[in-house]
Amino acid sequence: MEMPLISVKNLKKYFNMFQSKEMIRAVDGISFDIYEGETFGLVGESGCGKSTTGKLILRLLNPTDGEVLLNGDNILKYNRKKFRKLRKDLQIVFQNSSSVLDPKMFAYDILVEPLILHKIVPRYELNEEVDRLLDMVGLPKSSKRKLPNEFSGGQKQRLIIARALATRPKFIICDEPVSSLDVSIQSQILNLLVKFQNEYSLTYLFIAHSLNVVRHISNRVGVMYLGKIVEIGSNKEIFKSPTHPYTKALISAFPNLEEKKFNEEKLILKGEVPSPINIPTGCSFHTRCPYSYGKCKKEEPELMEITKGHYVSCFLIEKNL
Amino acid sequence: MEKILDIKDLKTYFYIDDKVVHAVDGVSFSINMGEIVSIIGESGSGKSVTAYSIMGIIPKPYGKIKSGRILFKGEDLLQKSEKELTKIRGNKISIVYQEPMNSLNPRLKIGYQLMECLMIHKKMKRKEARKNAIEMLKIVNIPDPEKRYNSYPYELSGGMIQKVMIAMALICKPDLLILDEATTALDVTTQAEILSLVEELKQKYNMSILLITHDLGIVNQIADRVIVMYGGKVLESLPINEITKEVLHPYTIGLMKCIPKIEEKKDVLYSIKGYIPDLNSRFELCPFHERCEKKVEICDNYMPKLVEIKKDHLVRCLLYSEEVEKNYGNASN
Repeated sequence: MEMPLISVKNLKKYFNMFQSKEMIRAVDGISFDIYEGETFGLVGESGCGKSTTGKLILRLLNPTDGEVLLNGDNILKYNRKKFRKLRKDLQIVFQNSSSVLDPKMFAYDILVEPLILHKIVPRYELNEEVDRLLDMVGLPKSSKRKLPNEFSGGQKQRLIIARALATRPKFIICDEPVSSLDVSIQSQILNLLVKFQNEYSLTYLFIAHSLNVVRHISNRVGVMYLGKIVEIGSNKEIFKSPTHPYTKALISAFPNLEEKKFNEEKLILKGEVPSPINIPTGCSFHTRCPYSYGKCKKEEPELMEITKGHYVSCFLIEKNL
Repeated sequence: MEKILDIKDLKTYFYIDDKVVHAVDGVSFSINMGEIVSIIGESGSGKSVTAYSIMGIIPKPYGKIKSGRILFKGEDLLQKSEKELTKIRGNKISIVYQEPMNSLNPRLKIGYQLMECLMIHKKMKRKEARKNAIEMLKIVNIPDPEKRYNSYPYELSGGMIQKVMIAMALICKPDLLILDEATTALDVTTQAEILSLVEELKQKYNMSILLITHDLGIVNQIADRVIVMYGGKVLESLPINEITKEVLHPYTIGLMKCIPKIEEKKDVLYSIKGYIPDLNSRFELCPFHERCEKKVEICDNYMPKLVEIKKDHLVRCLLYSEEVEKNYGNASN
């Protein structure tokens, strides 16, 4: 079997709480593989630990427990110096906001910084390289001398993508890259991401909460709920035959253009996402699950493979078998 | 059918330094009793400013309603004094804002903020108002309303606060409810819950709703009629059952194609070229003409009018105006 590019094993991140012994279990033992050249989508409601997972893989946060393997090598064991060399292969595109770009740096400086730090091109070629990067993402050359606040939302996002591509990475984490953009701009950015993936054979971890975007861009999808992965499968499996009740609810709650009005069949979840401080015992979804029964409250379901590559953690599978 | 709100040629401009921003530029539409009308458009298209104009809460002194009429039940809201408006706002017309976290007073208990509306508008006594407030919290499906009554906004999640905001907007049983991107900041599951709640309450109180959003999916699920805005102007107005089949304006068509569909997967998404225009310069031409794919020569020097193509379906585009068919037809011949 092909070796995955990134392999996450039993990754955990607990945050301490102020003046309290309780922990916020943001990410609670997740495992998944990302193969070279694919896009792995991660969906879930806010607060389910999607972004934390992204940050843990890049070691922007230190995990409590678990392993992140890059080509079979545990990168969490690397020391600072060694990891820094690796950083140029792993990049991140954050959700578009002014906080991601230094408001006092010109676009030129923003793009040049990674080029110098990682010695990507010799100094006399810097100018050309910046022009090339701007051209790649469809920004005019004149924008070199602009400050971030002079760009519109979509243009800022293009600049952020250009910055991520500057170091010629192999793997990019896209953390909600389009969620704050208008639909017409959103499709431009998505097309750009797909274009670069084909040209430079990039691998993406695509984190988003809008399902149609994930459906569009991903090859495989993981669904997260309260720090755990409840279902992993290919794009088709997740969207055509969702198995976990939470996945079903997410998909049916998504307002789409094809279907008219809320009907009886739609699965509308009642109640709130429980707080990650005291996660319910047993299956963490049982408090909102319309199909939960006795066992769900006591035991915790494991991820089980139902068809090849399609994993679900739910007791209902057992019941049907 | 009786019209509850009738807006005619509304123009709201902002004067900043020496620039004039033409945020809303000649918008006309009406809402019938018990109807859900939705305004869609990208950011900067003037949706929210339209809503603020109705409520009379345009930030002063920068913003100014230049001209137009806003008839609410036959009375012009723009002619009313601030005192008279106060009696209407929150009572007859109420609004739910986009960011629920920022719209509640963080230092007051939720219960008090709910009660305040009743005490001011309905002249209720504290005790009675409290009873009504708790009742309202129950209606919007907030678990444990007695306890939540004494909570502060920071103690609740985003979805819960939005429900409180809806409760607050509905507590005086308004005739018109404006939802200004009310579900944009929420998760899909919460969004679905709130939308079904809104629809249920609409039936219950026989309200009219003005739904402002940029999500075509939501519109398709609950609205009766859609108004497409762009650059401060209405480009198209159509009944909901035509949105999947018979959209006419190139912008609306583009917008529909831009959205990735959950049912099918494509390799390349359609995208509208260019960016949303700056509203500083007033549009003498069609606001969309720079990005339009179906642009013809005349678009460079002609402002199309909003014409009714068929019943309830209005379009502002040269392609559909008879005048042009005549002129352009001749020119091409």
